[in-house]
Amino acid sequence: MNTSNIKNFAKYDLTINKVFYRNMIIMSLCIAVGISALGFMGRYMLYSSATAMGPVMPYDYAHFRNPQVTMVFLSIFIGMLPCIFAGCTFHNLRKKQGRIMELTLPTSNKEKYIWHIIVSVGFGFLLTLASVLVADLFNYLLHICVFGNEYTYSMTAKMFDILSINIPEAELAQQATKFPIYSLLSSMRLLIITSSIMGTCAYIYGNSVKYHYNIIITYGIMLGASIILAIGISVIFGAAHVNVEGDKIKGMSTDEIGMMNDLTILFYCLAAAFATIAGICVWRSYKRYCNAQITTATNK
Amino acid sequence: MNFKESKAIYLQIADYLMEKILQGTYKESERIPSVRECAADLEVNVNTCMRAYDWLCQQEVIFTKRGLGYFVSDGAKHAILKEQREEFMNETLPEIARKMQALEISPDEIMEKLKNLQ
Amino acid sequence: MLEIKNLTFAYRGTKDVISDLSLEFKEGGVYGLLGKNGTGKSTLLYLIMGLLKPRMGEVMMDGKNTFERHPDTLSQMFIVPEEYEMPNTTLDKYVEALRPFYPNFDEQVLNDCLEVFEMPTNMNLKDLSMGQKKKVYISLALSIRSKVLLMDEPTNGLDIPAKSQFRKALARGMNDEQIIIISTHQVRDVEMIIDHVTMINDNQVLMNEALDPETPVNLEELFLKKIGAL
Repeated sequence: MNTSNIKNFAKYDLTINKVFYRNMIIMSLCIAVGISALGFMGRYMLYSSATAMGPVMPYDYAHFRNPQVTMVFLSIFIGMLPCIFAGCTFHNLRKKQGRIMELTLPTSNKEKYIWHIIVSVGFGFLLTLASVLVADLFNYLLHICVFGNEYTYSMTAKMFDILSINIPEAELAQQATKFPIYSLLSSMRLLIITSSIMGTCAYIYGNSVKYHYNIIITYGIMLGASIILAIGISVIFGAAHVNVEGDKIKGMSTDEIGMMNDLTILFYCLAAAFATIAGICVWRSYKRYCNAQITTATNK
Repeated sequence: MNFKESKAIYLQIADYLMEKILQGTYKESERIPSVRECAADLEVNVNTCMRAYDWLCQQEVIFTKRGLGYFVSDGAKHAILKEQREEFMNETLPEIARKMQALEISPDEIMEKLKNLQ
Repeated sequence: MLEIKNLTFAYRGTKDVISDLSLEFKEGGVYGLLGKNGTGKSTLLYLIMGLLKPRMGEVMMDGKNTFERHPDTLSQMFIVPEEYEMPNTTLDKYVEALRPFYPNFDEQVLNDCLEVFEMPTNMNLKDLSMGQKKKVYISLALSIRSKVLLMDEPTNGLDIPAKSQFRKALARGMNDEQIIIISTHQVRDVEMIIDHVTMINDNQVLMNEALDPETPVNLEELFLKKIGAL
């Protein structure tokens, strides 16, 4: 495997898809900034109407500078955009002519595949992050314009902080003496990370099956799978903690430490499962790419 | 150029080149277009053109100077005319004679007609 | 040398388009792949190029299986499909992007061919009409100077002057180490430029031989006779 081959293929891909990538960049920046702008406008309307109404509505600047709703929408954006990008991994192969050009290009399958992953996953994530930072900056600038140098905080930092829980450190430390909180939190973090990796890889695999607009189908499949998984876990977890005496169910176990430990183990297992599924998705999509033909059952 | 079915293509190409030499378009001792240029002009297979050139070399109508291309031989015009005269005498004329006999045309009638034509 | 060995192929759910086909193509030959529309000429070219997976048999280019898509093999092969879309970029930039993959690329040949086609040396590829796209793509294909050059109905969509330009460009651009395979149903467009004929119809090889330079033959008549007789 040759890095110069990957570079050559990269140059080729960027040359023929210049417009596509440019449009993706513009689209994600616009959406992110749009969310930020709309959020600001909404809050500002509430704030100005509240101020006009006086102490009846307690919506002061402290509320105003807390962009909760905006952050929710931006979180959705962070969740969705990398998946959309992953779902476009093989966009070169959408049309017959594109398949001819890419599949006959003298680079090995591995090298071409690696570049596609770098773009769809790496670039996708970076673009998402950059868009959110730009949205953040935009929000900050709006605040400065309207309110002068009033403090407002970075949405980006807050959102990525979701990986730690919104509990003050001192309280957390106190609880940890009684309950295995820290291990539970680590397992939760790992679960969130692996589930988003798995989500991205599922979109890559879905795209390798059908090169055209597979995003919606993949989303549907994943949604279905998540619901089944959630139901299954609740059943298993519930069953593990139901007290049975004789024939009768006496109620749920109140062993909170036990439950937390079980939950931690469950989360670690799930994280491992998700990582495995992600790996399988990537491997299978690579195999499909190697066997790509000019026409297939799902791509005419 | 429209090719006939009656004669090998490469020979028709050779005829075409010889015609150009007779007309003076390609002068003696001067370079003629390369095989590739000729093939492109006439829209034929390059190998077929090569065959034509080879044949003309054999007939000593043209010769090749290594690395420089093909040139019209000295006396090529004369050689071509000689060969074509021979072809006329040995092939075209007997054919006319056969036709004359079949159509019962006398040599005197031919002479009369020729005088009017020339 | 390009070898097709016992090749069998069918599109999903249909009967065999190609069945137990064996053919050989040697360097320096211009092969005409003649057949009516829909007889599998394009399919055969795609199979040669490694764009389709044979059901049975294989295509070997200098001893390597083409479906495995080794970069070394692919850098010696190029196909001009019947229809294609041009990327949204200029010819210059596109050539710069393709060059590193094809070591035999010759810019002079590209310019020669574009000249024959009366096309400018640089333009935005998206702005071209169908005929112009063909001319540029054919020029590009010839300038890549791959050992194997496949052309699928190259004269389709070209008007009569352009067909003439195509023959001229081919004579200017090809070299005698190439294996050129031109598939077409319009025999007259190519009968002067090919030196081997392979005729296929309904999954059968009707004819597969070199044209005898000493005996000219009306290919179009022969072609119609062969496919009409069956």
